[in-house]
Formats: sequence, structure tokens, C-alpha cells
Amino acid sequence: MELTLDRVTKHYGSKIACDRISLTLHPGVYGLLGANGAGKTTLMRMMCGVLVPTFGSITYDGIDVSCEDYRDALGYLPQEFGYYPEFSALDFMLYIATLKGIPKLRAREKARELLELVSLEKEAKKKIKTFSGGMKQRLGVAQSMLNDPKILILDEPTAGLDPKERVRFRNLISRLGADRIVLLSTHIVSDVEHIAGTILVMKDGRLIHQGALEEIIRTIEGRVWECIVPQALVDSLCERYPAINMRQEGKDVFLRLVGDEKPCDSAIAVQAALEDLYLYYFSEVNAK
Amino acid sequence: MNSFWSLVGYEYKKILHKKSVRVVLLLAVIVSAFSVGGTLFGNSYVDGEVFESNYDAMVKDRAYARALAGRKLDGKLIMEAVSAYVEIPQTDKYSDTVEYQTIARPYSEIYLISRTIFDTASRRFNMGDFQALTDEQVKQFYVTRRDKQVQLVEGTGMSNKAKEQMLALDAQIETPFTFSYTGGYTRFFVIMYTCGLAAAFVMAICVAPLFSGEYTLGADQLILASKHGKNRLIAAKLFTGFSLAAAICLALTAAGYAFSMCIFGFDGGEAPLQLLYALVALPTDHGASGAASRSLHLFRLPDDIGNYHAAFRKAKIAFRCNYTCWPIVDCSNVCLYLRSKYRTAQSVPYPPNKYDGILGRDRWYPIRAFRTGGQAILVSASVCGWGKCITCAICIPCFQKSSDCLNQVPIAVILFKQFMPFGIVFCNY
Ligand SMILES: Nc1ncnc2c1ncn2[C@@H]1O[C@H](COP(=O)(O)OP(=O)(O)OP(=O)(O)O)[C@@H](O)[C@H]1O
Ligand SMILES: [Mg+2]
Repeated sequence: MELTLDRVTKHYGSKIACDRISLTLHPGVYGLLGANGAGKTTLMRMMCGVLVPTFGSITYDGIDVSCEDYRDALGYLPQEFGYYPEFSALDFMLYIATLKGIPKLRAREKARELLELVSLEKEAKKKIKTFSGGMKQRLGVAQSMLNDPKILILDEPTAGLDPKERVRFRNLISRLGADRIVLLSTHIVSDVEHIAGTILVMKDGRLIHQGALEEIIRTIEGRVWECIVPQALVDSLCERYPAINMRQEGKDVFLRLVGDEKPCDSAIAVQAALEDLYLYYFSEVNAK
Repeated sequence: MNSFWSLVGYEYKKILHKKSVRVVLLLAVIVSAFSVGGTLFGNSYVDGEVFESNYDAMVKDRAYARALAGRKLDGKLIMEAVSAYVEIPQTDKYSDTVEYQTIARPYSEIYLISRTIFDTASRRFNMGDFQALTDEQVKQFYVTRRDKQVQLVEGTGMSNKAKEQMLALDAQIETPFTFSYTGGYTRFFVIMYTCGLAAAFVMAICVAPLFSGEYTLGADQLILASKHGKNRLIAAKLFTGFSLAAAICLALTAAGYAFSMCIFGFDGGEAPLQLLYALVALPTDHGASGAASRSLHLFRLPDDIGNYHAAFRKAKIAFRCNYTCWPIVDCSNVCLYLRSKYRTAQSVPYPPNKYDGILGRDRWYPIRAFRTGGQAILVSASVCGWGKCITCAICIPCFQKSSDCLNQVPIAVILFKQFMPFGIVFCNY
């Protein structure tokens, strides 16, 4: 079971949204991180056959992304999409099941099971137009799993979920990752921090990092600093170093910074976390 | 295949769940009811005073016609009508006279039928002529009709074989006709002229968002990433579009029929069509032609279709440009193309005045008359972005001069053949 991307590229006019991305994915959970506009959605859409790459190929065990067999193995939750407002949640699930070619009886069973999994079993008969944002998002997650996909691609699946559902979702994903390829994108670093076996970091259409959490964090190990400085110093420090955290402490300000050298005398080196990395790469300071 | 039908089912569900669709359907039914019953509103006046309401007039005439129903339309019946009409004094407007209202009106249907038979090209048969009809002339009623038919058929541009076929058909008509009240059917045939427009309107609302709606809604990504979303679903959607177009046509026709029958009366299904259109060459009755007028036909081609067809092919390219640009094309354009091309395709020049027209129910209509009679409605739904660009056109040329004459069949066939790759054509003939 292997999903291979070979120099996948997408151009929008002169804009390069994805630039020669090569990847090989095996069963497990992959977290895709990147700032707004990094090209995450574009990449995922190409992996789902919704967009055709300008260049490059995507294959799953030798099956091209444009084949029906590829889509048969695929589950996809788009970042944002429309529902049929007059359909009930169950109708919607059954419709998607039909589109996925699942036999009727099995579809009904599976739909109920999944609605329960995302705690929508009570709302199954309600029209989707009466749903809240988070409920719709859960329904979206449920539909993506209808065909027991071998490749599960989720674009910001946790957006809009409340903390309780978020925890449920995280557990669900780590369970699913055991025997399939799960790729999820998010801005909420803590969502992937503990469940993603591999972290992929995208910036400006390119894949800049790829590896296990520890490996990735190692790149900024020893470069995360915390200090408490007077208000007057804050601006100059923040201009030079990406600030990860900032908090008023009495008259002074607590700062967490990333920098190659010690930013100020009072600074102490601390252990790096994924969020530090994320902010380090995507902060304004670094972009300059 | 099973999933294909489920997908079609869901497409129907998506369409019928929309409020706008339901409103439009309801509206179409109301419009159809109104177009059937509309003529019954209002009054007729004598000397500026209300004489009777149109509804009362209909009820009265219906009772008179029913009183004659079942009788043979032979010399005896016509003479009876003549002797009733003789009572009417000479005035400007004979229908205002007491004599007409009391003695002659029960026979007004007989007068109307006789008029189409005894009309001649040089002289319009009027009330005075009817009063003067002799026993001898009346006995010649069916002979006169046949002569007229022969003349009419000979005057067309059809091949000899087609002419023969047509006259043979005409000879099969059973005479004398059995009289019946046919008000319901008459009304039904009339409203079928405009039914196509109403159907097109409904279709535009219902069928147009079939594909584009998924994009507006944002469901396209889910669909495109699913197993059947790129092939079977498209087939299911096309099937839904065509079948829904057919269903809408049928439903509106059924509504028109039901309203006509309920308001005007159910009689006349077995009455020969010639009571309504005296010179139709088809041996058929009202009921059958009503049913035929809205069903999907596969035609047996008369011989001269070949020529029409070849000529049409040349005109096709121009026509195709036309219909992709315009969602609604009056089929008179098609006919004009046909006519002009056909004329040049023939080696023998036809007299132009006989050529530029359509053989109608009792005379040779100039093309202009046909122009208002038939509409070809193309609802084209452009389906872009589904990998390929499919343009599906659902065409409903409504040949509403229906049940008139075989001569319109060829044109319907051509349209049928031309459009088949793109859609289904409903023809009335
Ligand atoms: N249809 C389009 N036409 C032109 N440019 C596009 C189109 N879709 C995306 N882009 C551009 O491609 C780049 C990548 O967009 P993409 O949606 O993949 O980002 P993303 O990483 O998913 O961002 P976000 O975190 O906001 O969802 C952006 O700069 C965007 O402006
Ligand atoms: Mg995105």
C-alpha cells in the first residue's frame, strides 16, 4: 500500500500553487502544516482527482489518480463544500454511498454506524440546513469514511469542532491510521502533534520539511528562548526574532522567541515544540 | 446498473426538493387550467346588453350538440339544419336574431362542418349559401369532400407515391361521419398549441441547474472525488434531464386534458377527427389523435424524406450555430431553411406559391401561419468543467398544427433525426 507523488506541480496562471512535490506515503497518519495559501488544499485536491496537476503524477499502488479504482479507495473531506440543504443527514450519507458504489444494505448499515461515530445519530433524520457549522463538519468527516477508504484525505477536519469532538476525532484518526494512509491538513498544531507519525511542512507551494515530530523539531532544538523583558525592548526583539508567545507580566513582558543566537542576556533556552517550528517558519520576521 | 437507477432517483430528489421547482410546477398547472377555462369568462352582448355569459353559451351549445350526438352526418341531418337556418331573416348579424337563437342554433355545429366542405377557393361559403343548399348538393357532401381532398393533395409537392398513400388513407375514413359533441377535445387541441411554451418554461427552471447546481452548491468536489462521480453520475444526470423533460411535457398535457374534459365534457373520444378538421386525411378519432399528439413517435419515412434530409444536412451547420447561441429557437427558422434548401434540391421547380407553406387542416397555409403554430424549444444546458464540455440540448419542437396532416410528419422526422444525438424530440402530428 503506497501512495506516490512524483514532481506534482500546479500552476494557476503565473502563480505556482504547488511546486514539484515528490512524496511517498505508507499507512499511517500524516499531518500537513502550512500557512494560509501555502498550497495544502491545492495539493489535496490533486490527490483526490478533483484538480488535474499541471505536471507530475500521482499513483496508488500503480493506479493513476484519474482511475475509478483510485477513487474507489479514496475518502475525501474538502476544506469547504456544499450540502444539499433539503436532504437529511442520513439521506446525504446514503447519496454519497451510492456515488461511492456501495450496495444499498451495506450503505445503510455503514451510514448509521458512522453517524454514531461522529455523534450525529440523533440528528440523522434532520435536514442539513438546520445543522450548525460543527455538525456539518462532523457529517463531512463521516461521509469521507463511508467506503472504508484506504486513502483518507482530510482538509482541515477539525475546523469548527468543539474540544470534546476534537478529542474524539483525534482518537478516531490515530485508530484509522493503523492500516491506511491518512493525510490531514490543519492550522491547529496540537491536533497533529500527537497523532501524526509524519509531519509535512509546506511553504509557498514547496514541501520544506518532512519527517517524524522529533526529527522536525530537532531543526530548531536549542533555538527556542524564553525571557522576561521590559516593555521598551519588546518591539526591537520582535522585529528581529519570530515571537511565539507574548504575555504581559506586571510591568514586564514575557516572550518566547526563536533565534539562532541568544536574543538577550536574561533569555534561557527551552525545549522546542511543533508550534515553535510552525511559527518559526511562517512568521513575518522569517519571511523577510 | 442498480446504482445508476439510485443515482437517477437522487437526482429527482434533488430537483423536486427545491421550492422554486414546486412553485413553478404549481404555476404551470394553474396557467394550464386558466388557458383551458379562460374563454368561459366574459359575456356576449346584444344591443349593448348582456345576452348570456360565455359559460352559459357553452353549456347551451353543448346541450344542443349532445342532442344530435350519435346521429349520422348525412343528407337528412344537413337538410334538417338547412331548413332550420332558412328561418333566419336577412340581417347584418344573424346570430342576434330570435330565429337563430331558438330554431337554428341547435344545428350550428352542422353548419360549421358544412362550411369547410362547401367552401371554394373563389367564394367563401356563408350563411346565405347554406340557406340555399339543395337536396342534390347535400347528397354530394362526401363526394365534394373527397374531390377537395384530391385537389389538395395533388397541389402539394409530395412524390406521387406519397400522394397515393395519403389519398388511400383518406379513403379509409368511414362515411357518413357519426356526429358527436367534441367541445372538450377541441379545447384540448387548442391549448396544446401553447403547452410547449409552458413546458419549456418549467424545464428551464427544473432542468437547467442539473449540472451547474452542483457547482453553485459546492458539492462538486465530493462528487468528483467519488467512484461514480465522473462517469455514471453524468449518465444518470443526462437521463434525469431527458426523462424529466418528457415527464413535464406529459404532465402538462395530462393536466390540459383533464381540465378540458372536466370543464367542457368527456364526450367525443370516438368521434371522427374530421368533425373538427374536415379535411384531415387520417382515419382516426379525437381520442387517438389526442393521445398521439403528445407521445414520442418513431416515424415510418415516406419517400420524399430523403430529399428533405439531404437538404437539411447542408443547412445543419448554420442551424447548429444558431441553436447553441440561442436557448430558444422558433422552429420556423428550421422550416425556412428546409424550405429554401429543399426547393433548390429539387430538379423540377415547384410553383413557389404552392411551395412556401404547409398543408394545414383545410388549406395550404403560408409559411407565416406555420411560424406561429410551432415552436422548437431547445433547452440547452451547458455542462462545462466536467472534464469535457458536454452540451446537452433538450429539444421539444412542438408541432402543434397537430393531427392536421401527414405533410408535417417529414419535418418532425428531420428534427427527430437531427436532434437525436443531443436529446429527445417530441413531435405532435
Ligand atoms: N482557483 C485558483 N485560481 C488561482 N489561484 C488559486 C486558486 N486556488 C488557489 N489558488 C492560489 O494557490 C495558492 C494555494 O492555495 P491553497 O488553497 O492550496 O492554500 P492552502 O494552503 O490550502 O491555504 P489555507 O490554509 O488558507 O486553506 C494560494 O496562493 C491561492 O491564492
Ligand atoms: Mg486550504
